[in-house]
Amino acid sequence: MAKSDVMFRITADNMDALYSAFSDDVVEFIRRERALGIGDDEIFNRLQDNLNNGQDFFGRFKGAMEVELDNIVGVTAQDYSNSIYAPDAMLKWELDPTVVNHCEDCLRNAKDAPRTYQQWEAIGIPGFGNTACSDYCKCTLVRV
Amino acid sequence: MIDLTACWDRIGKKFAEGLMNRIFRQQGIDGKAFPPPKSKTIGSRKFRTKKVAGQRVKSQKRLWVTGNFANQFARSYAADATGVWVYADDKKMHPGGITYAWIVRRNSRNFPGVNTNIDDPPMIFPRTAQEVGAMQKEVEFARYELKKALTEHYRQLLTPEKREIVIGQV
Repeated sequence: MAKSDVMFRITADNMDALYSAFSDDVVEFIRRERALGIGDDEIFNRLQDNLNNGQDFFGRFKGAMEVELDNIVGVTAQDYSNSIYAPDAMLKWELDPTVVNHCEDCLRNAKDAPRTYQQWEAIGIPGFGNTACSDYCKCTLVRV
Repeated sequence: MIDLTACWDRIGKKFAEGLMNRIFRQQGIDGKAFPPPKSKTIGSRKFRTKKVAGQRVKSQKRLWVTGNFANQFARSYAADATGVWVYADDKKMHPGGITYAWIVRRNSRNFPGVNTNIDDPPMIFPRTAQEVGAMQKEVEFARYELKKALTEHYRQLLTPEKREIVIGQV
């Protein structure tokens, strides 16, 4: 997808990691039950009971999934809005005109000389937590 | 990798239609009503499109005469296995000869190139995470759809038909 500044992405990047951890838990459960001499039919029944009652690793997976879903918007939108420029493009820190009071970090960054995206990344690009306003930063990088 | 493309497609459609419907409702993504166009803008204009070719058209709505701009949002999303892009097209041209993305940049107050002649311009497209989050109904829909899809995915792993696959492979 060619990048533009008029786009955003909704994603759940950690879902695969969550599922891998969940799969590992299921495999470990099966091995442990077999080591105890439990037959496959009974193992399957226990898995289904745990699933239906939200117990053990199903409960953990469900909790982790809900945390991940709370974060699906996160900083994704701002990241893609800011990262569309060529590596050598000079960018200035633009204060969001809809915000009345900006934090000192953003005010300082807005007065600084333009930098490349990589240079801003080293200091902290808007919305990534390096400014006092942290995730609430609504500033953006604009080509000069 | 879990493939939730169909789920992300539904989510993208919801967000895209949300952007479109807000234009028709004349409401910004922050909930504020669009200010009306200035009287000199409301004056009749000639359009070259087939639909209104040669006709003089008046509109008292902001960003809505033929509906082309609003309607393009309904098609402007692209889902894949891990997420969905929602965008205003930077290549397709509005019949007026400019891209839809240009229209957004010029008319949405959260973009640096917003037209300074607009008094209190609306916010018509989100740029930051907080602005996307302001589309609350769409975000809640996304969470609901993902939760439903993921729950169904792991329930499917434990149907009797999958028993041999799940337990047999260990």
